[in-house]
Amino acid sequence: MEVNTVNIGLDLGYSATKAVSTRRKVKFPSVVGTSDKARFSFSQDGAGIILAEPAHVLVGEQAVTQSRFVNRREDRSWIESAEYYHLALAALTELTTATVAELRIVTGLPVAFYNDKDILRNLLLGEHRATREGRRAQVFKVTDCRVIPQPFGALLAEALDDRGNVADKALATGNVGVIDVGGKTTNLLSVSRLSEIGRETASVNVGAWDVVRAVRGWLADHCPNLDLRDHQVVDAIVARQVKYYGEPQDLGPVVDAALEPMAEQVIAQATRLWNGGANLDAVLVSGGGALLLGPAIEAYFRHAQVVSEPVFANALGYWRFAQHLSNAQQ
Amino acid sequence: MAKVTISFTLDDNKDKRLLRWLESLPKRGRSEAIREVLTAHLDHNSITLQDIYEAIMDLKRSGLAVTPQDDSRPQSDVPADVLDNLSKLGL
Repeated sequence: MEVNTVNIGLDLGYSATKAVSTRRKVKFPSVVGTSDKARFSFSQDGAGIILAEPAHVLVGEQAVTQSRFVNRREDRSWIESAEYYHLALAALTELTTATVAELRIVTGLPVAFYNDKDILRNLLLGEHRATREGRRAQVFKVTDCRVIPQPFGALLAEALDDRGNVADKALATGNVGVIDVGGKTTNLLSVSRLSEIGRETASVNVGAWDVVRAVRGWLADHCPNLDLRDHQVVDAIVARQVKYYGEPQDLGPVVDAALEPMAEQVIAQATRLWNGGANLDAVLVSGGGALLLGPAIEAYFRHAQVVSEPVFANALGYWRFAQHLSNAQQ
Repeated sequence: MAKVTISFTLDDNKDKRLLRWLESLPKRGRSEAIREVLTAHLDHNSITLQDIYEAIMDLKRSGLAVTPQDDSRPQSDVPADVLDNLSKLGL
C-alpha cells in the first residue's frame, strides 16, 4: 500500500500548541492533565483531546477545565518531558485521523535553546503510536524532521506560498529582523538571504503573559468577582477596556504601565543587536504577543509590521517549509 | 445639489492598511480620494452582458487552452544561494 507523506508544521509554545497541515490548522493550550474518569465519562462527544495511549491524559482545553492536576512547564528540558511528547502526539491526532500516517514535520525551538535541536529531532523522528478516546489507534511514522529557530517560521510564512515556493522575493533576498513575542520569551532573529546571522540573534525574557499577569492583578484589586479566562483578559487588553457589572472600565493606564517597560526592553535589545535597525529591509513582528507589543514596535521601527495571523505564523511557516522540502525531494 | 455625508467603521487591526492610507491623505482631499477609489472599483467590477458575449465569442474564435501546472518547477528568478540557504535550514 502506498502511503503519502503528510507535511506538518508544529509549533509547541509554552502557552499554546499550534499545528498546520494542508487541510487543518489547530490550536490548543499547552496543558496536559490527569484524567478524571468520573468526569470525562459523561462527555465523550469528541469535544476534547483525551489520549488513552501512550498515557491516559487530558490535553489542551479539556485539561484546563477538567483535570485535577495539570502540568505546565516552562523550562529548557521541557522538550524531553512526557508532557511535551503528549502535546506533540495530541496535535498530530488533531490534524489527521488516519490509522497509519507517514509524516514530514518541521518544528522550531527558541533561539536560546536552539543547540538542543538534535534532541528534539531524535524525539520526533521514527514511529509513534497514539490512541484517542473513542478512536482507533494511530501510528505516525515521521520520516523527515527539521528543527529551525522559532522566529524563522514567521519569516517563511511571509516569504513562501502554500506550495513552498518563494512568493516574496524581496523578503527572501533581503535583510530581515523578526521579533517573535511569545508567552514567556521574546525571540529576536536576524536573517540575510534566508540565512541566520547568529551574532544578531537573541532572546529576551519577557513575554505576553507578563502583561496578562499585570492586568489580572489589577482586575483582582479593582474588579473583584470578575472571573475572566486568559484569552478574555487578552481580548480586554487589546480592547483596553473590560465590562464590570455592565459598566466599561478603562484599562488604558494599567495596560500602558505594563506594556511600556516590556516594549522598551524589547526595542532596546533589538536596537542594540541590529545596530539601530536601519540596515534591515523589514522587521516582522509575530507571536501571540504581537498584537500587544506590535503598535509600540511599529511606532519605533518605521519598517516594522505585524504579520498576518501572528499566532499561527510560525506553524504556518514551518508547514510551508515542509511543503518546500517535499517539492525539492520530488 | 445637496451634500451627503456617510460614515463607516473600520477595525483598527484588520483594516490597518486602510487606516494608514486614510490617515496619509491630506485633510482637505480625503473625500475626493475616497470617491475616486470607489468609482474605480465600481467601474472595474461592473461586468455587462456585452462583456460576457464578447468573452464567449473570443473563446469560440481562439479555443480554450489549458496549461498544466508544474508545482515542482525550479524558481529560476530566485538566486541560487538563497534557495541553497533555504534547503539547508535546520540541518
